[in-house]
Amino acid sequence: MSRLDALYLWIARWEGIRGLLGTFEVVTNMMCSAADILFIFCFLRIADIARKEDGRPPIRARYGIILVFLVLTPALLFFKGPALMVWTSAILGIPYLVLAWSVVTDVAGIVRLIRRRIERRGNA
Amino acid sequence: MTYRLFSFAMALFWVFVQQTCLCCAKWACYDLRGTLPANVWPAGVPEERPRDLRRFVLQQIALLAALIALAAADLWILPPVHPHSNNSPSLVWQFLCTVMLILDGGLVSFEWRIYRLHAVRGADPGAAGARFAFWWTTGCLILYAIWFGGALSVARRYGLNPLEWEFLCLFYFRIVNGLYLVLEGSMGVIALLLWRNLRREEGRHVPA
Repeated sequence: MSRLDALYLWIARWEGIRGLLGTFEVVTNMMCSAADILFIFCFLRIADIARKEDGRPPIRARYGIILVFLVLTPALLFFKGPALMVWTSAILGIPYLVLAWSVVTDVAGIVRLIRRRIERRGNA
Repeated sequence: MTYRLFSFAMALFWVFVQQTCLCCAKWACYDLRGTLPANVWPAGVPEERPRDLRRFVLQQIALLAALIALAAADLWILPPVHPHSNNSPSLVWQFLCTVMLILDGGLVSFEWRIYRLHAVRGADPGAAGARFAFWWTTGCLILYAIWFGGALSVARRYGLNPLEWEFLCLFYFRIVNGLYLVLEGSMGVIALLLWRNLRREEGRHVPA
């Protein structure tokens, strides 16, 4: 039996594998959710700088939505199986929707902002 | 079946969101590339902006259509490896998760390029980003092929039961989840650095 076979068989037949996989699932889902929310928060902050320079109103509601889902992230600890999938879909999915909406509506402003900054430095 | 359909629908929705972000990020890179001095552009490379972007969008649409077709086939046509009520033991489901990992790698590559275009004057890390995306994609596909090639072989030779097969699939999914986490964390850090740089400049600039 090769070492690779032994590894596969250990994963398939070790009696503690279910608990290990379940723990990894919850921990990685929670950390992914937190990392996503950090990314979306930074994106919204950048979008806000662009909006300010374009004279557009600042973002408000979207911060509220991602804050709600950041607070809800630890709730994933209390679910497993299909319920975990459904709650993960909501907790990761709705901030993802916020990101998609923000990217589509704010990316042009962000690009204009970065372009202005690069060109200003070039002229200085 | 309803649960499997829901899972596939969610995953395909995430793929769609990733692709939307990818298309926007690619457009942003092309737009910002115009700020570079002419001598930074690779010699002999023509400006194919509209055609190149259109091709990229069409590729993404084709990829999404192929994934939808694969998911539909897995739900209603393909014979299952064994009877199951969730998607974990499905090779198509695991492939879909691998594709999401590949798309995330593309997003990191574009985001890094935007950050560098802003942070480093007159430098375009486009070629390095494209190399990263290529090797990341290749690596993810090799990981999928090697893992499930080995898993199928072991399942056949040692007569694994359905639950044992599911554990092998779930273990692969945890590896993918770990890699997602690395990519999502990297995206967060790059966005944080870009925000910090833009905010610093904001203090030195009074908008007209």
